[in-house]
Amino acid sequence: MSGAGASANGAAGVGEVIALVDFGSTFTKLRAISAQGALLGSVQHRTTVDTDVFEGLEGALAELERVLPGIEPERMVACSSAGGGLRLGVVGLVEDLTAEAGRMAALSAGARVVRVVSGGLADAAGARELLADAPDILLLVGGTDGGESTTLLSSASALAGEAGDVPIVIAGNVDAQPQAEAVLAAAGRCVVRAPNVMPEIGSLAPDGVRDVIRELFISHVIGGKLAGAEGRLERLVRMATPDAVLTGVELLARVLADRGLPGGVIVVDVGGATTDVHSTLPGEAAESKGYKRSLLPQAVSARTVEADLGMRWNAPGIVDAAYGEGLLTDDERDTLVEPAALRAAEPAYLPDSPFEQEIDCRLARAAIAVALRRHAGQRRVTLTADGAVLERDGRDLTHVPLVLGTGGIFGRIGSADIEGCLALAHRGREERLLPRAARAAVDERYVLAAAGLLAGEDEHAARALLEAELASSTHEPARRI
Amino acid sequence: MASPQVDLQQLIPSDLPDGRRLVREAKERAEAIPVGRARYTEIHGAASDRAFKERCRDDGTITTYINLGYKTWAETGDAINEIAAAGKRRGFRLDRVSLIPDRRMGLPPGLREQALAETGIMMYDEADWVGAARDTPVMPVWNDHNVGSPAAVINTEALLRAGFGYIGSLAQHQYGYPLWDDDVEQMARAVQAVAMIAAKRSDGVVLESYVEDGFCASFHDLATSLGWCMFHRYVAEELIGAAHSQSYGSTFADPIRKQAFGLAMEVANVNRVPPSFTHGDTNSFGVEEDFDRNAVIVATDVMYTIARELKHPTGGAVHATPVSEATRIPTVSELIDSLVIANEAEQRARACPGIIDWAPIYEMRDRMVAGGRRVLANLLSGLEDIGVDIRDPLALLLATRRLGASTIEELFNAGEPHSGYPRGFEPVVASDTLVRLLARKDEVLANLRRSGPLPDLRGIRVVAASGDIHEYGLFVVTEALGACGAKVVDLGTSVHSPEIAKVAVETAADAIAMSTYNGMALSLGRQLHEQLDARGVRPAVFFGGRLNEDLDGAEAVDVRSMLRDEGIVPCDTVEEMAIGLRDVLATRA
Repeated sequence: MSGAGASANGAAGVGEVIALVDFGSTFTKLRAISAQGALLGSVQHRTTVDTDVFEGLEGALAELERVLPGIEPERMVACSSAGGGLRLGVVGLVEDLTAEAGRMAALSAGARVVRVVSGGLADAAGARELLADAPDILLLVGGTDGGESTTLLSSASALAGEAGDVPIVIAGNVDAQPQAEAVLAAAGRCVVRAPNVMPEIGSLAPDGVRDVIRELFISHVIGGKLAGAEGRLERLVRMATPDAVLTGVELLARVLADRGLPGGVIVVDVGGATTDVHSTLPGEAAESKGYKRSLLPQAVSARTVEADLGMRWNAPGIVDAAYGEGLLTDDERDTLVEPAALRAAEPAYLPDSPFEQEIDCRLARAAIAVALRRHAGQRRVTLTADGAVLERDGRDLTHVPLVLGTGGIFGRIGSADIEGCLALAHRGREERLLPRAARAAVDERYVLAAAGLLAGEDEHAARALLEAELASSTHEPARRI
Repeated sequence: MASPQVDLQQLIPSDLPDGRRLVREAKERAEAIPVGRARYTEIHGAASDRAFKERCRDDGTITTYINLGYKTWAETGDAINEIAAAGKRRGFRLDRVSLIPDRRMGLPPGLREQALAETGIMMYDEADWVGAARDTPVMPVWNDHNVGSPAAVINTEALLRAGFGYIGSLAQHQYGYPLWDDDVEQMARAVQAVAMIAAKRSDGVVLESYVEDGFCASFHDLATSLGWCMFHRYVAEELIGAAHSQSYGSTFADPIRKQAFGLAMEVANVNRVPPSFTHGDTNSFGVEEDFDRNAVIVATDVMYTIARELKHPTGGAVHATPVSEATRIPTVSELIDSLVIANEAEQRARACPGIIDWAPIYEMRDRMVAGGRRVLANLLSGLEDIGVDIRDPLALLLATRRLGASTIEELFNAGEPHSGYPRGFEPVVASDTLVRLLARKDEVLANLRRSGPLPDLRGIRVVAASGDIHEYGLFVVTEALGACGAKVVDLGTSVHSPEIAKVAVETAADAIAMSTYNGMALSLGRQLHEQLDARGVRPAVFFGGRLNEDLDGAEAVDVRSMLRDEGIVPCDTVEEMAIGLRDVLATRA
């Protein structure tokens, strides 16, 4: 970028401009943000994934110059979901404990968890089977600190001969980590240690793993996803796109808390291949008095990925799931079956009539309701002779005040639709810990990912961006669902 | 306080009868029931038991109380008459007696024959009921196995007709009875019985509760107990319209706590219904039969109660625990002795009214009252948040019965969160129940130190859990093992075997310390081993608590030797468990 940009921007009165780039599988999206956090412009260009990704980026920059003459970004940072996203395999010990902790940590890092192995890897055959899923990173967990130590070591040994170039993160029993690391390093594997994801029973600590995975994504993964000038890509890309979205969600929660709405936030991201739900909960531990103690608590921020709820690639999955949950009548299902099949066969399909647009809206609403149900935890009451045992598992969303929809479909469906989806999700599901009194809002311009990406560069500007773009979501009174 | 998310359908069935309608209908039916006249009230020229108690309250008369219940009314009546006669000779008057019934009285008459005979009085016909009110100069009280039981309506009618003035016990609404498992119907009958008593309020009839028969005995905070009493008063007096007396006392050893609680109860007693009695301490007697020591405990306990009654009259009778209470059913002679003690204690209390410093008692009373009000508010708003209709007495009694004492205290207490206490909060005023539990923990450590330093359990990894809702055994275990240096992973209560096994795997546990009190110890042990074997781990397993199970038609069979056969170490005491764990560590070294 030329130094003339600064004076051009100055002339336009916007100060320093930052370009936030999202290298998607199909489109490279670019947003120009002022230092005060104002969204100046939003453009996109086809991702030139087959040649040099920077060609597409230059195309996007040219488009920016066309719509916003005289605005030249002085800084640029990027996130990426191209090349199928960040594929990650988890090897842990007990399925419900460390393996699950590892899985949740990987999801929060924006990964696509392709396989979870519990009980550790016993031998090379197990390692080869895991590697056949083509993970970009492997995460080895298992054992509390001071607890079980043999599984981490045996998994490391099994991988030592097989892992090739796949970087390995070790985040299990801290006492066993040095030996496991040494085994892999001696075999020439790229290995990084992180704090134990489950250091004690009743404790979940995903942040260390999330940071390490993010760094490995830049140093070892992105170069394989996108062809581009050596080193340039690694300097530009900061994180995987879902990681940027979750970071944006966390920042939004802090913004809302500052405005007197401290209960966290839920974000539903309806996409062509998946529907993702991100949520943050208040930092202090949820009141657990009166409830049975949980073996594995929930993290402050979490992400769930519903791979069967994509608006295009998995549209039939939406219909099946919603019908299975009793959210669609027989007639409603019958109306949706063919259009869903059409979309799956033609993922680039664009609705070409009001009827087809309405189908898209219906699919989206069904996907949101199902995804919210799956993301929410549940409660259970067991009556015994000596009294009731109250249990609460999973994410307690009951006091979250805001559900935000993000993604292109929210140009056509709005906050009233989301509220309808919440009411639908609640129906007949007393045991689900869904929000009881949440308002809804939409992020049509998809600023959450941009804000998450920007937060690493300039949190002040990122906050300002969220406050400006999502101002309405902090002012309306909540309606009880 | 965050509202609890509880599934309403689990607590309250959707077809629950309307409690308000039950109350209305029961009151209408009760119009036809004539209220009898007890001889005691005639002797004293009072319209009712309550009226006489109010007179005693107002003129500073101390009234007395005992518990008694032989198998039949005839035997019981003879004993009462003997005691009354002894009173004339020895200078005391026995005013009221709580007839202790056989548990079978809580069942509808048709089921009583099928149930196991226990101790206590059985009333067979009208002559028994009327006899109880007329055959002696003493006022009979019926506390147990009535209002909270499946026989509530039928017994209450008999009691009203006979002329009983104080009819209980709402506190027992969480009781279970053999041959009866319909808790909804049981609570419906409780509500109806209270309504019948309410219908006779103007005849002076009072609904009674002995609060420590119910949840109060297990609360760790006296603020919770007081809030709970306020809740019952709300249900009985405000929702149903009965006059409600709440008696207490047996679990209290500390005199300041005991008298402060009595004063706090009187603050909550907004309609000034004279309590039936204050019960003597039944917890401080040692295991050795040292009746001389016990006599001092009894005398001081009742003297403080009398001093409070003199200074802040309520009309409640006083009770001196018979010195043999911990050992056996007291003899008539021992009951007479207890009344002599009470009488002498009264004279001493009257002689030195200024000897007690009431300031700390009032200060504690005020803390209890403030805490109790918070508990009541938490309880009602919490139940309302769950979806319980807090104007329906049936819904309230059923929901709270199903929640149980420990869940209610954990959800609605007025204390600050604190992980050093068994229920996760620091009490406003610790109950004697909690004090005894904490003392038990100290006692265990003292016992372990008796023959040298504490067993060195450093390096041993123990997973500790309770298989049921009871936390007290687990608390003593985790504290004691922790003090010995063990690394204890405390999983809390109501933990299932698969969960324990999973944790044993991740923590590479050397041992499991299991507390179990629900009488299924052998099945639990086998299940646990199955789960551990399925995961390929075999830590040493130690069991403590109530180690029995119903087997082959026999009830509560001691399964300790069977547990040993399974390779599980049964422990009678926590000390045994600690020493056993030290031996495990030695073996693994």
